[in-house]
Amino acid sequence: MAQARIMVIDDEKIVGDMAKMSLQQEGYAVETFLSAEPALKRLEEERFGVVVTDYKMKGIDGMEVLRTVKKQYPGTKVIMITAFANLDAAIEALRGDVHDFFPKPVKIKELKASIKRALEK
Amino acid sequence: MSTDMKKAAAWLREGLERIGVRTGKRVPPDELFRRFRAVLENNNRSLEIITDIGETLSGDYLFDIQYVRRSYAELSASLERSLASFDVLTARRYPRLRTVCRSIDENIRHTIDEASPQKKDLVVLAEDGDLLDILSGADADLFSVPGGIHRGLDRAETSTRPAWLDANSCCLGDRGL
Repeated sequence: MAQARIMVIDDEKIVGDMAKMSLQQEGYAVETFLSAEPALKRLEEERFGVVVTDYKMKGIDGMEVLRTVKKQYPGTKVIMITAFANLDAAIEALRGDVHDFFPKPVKIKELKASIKRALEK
Repeated sequence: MSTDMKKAAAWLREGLERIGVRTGKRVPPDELFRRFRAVLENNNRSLEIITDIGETLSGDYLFDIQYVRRSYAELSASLERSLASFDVLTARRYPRLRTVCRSIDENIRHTIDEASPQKKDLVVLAEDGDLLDILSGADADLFSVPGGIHRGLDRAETSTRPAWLDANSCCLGDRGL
């Protein structure tokens, strides 16, 4: 069976590095990006099962990533993580059909469980 | 009292305090108790924050520098409050403690800043409620305010001056406030 592909977009390298290390242990193929622009370009070339994205980023933000993914790749699930958790952001993300929304710091175990559920759907 | 006399009295008081002689007004017992409790409470809070940071950085969590910055600001403020009460309890007999604490604090903040990606932040300090109302209230996230006030910034938030000073109390000198 082919490895599920996971994309992680976060403007802080440490987040991408830690996510990559943890998710690779679960057998996923993980690609990390520090901004949304190259990540969205990559999505044009390759299909990803799940996109884990930061909510606030310079340039294209997480909500824009969510909208683009939902419009162009409806089979891809989006999980949003944010250091600036507030109710409005969560509501906005849920309206955009986000699979899950986590405030940072995110428990890696919970992120893994969420990714598993997303891929099973 | 003339200025020279005042200076001489201050010099004498300082000298006596340095060798442990109390010269100031006696602190009432209920105030002493309140300060003692404040030292304990703030020390407990500091330990809780340290435990939380330790757990989060153990490798079981995805965290970013905002978390580290926020947690450390809270820890620093808690230690500062503890130290302020300790100063009252001990009639300021340990001034070096504050100097050492400040030096450690500056080192830690410097380390956190060096580990941070280059970010441009905006904090609006408002003295009056009207401005805060316009900007959606204290601690508001300016990314949610229409009109693009945040454009080109990585973080934009409002704060009241006392709240901001409280959270950043140990680095006021660095920021020229």
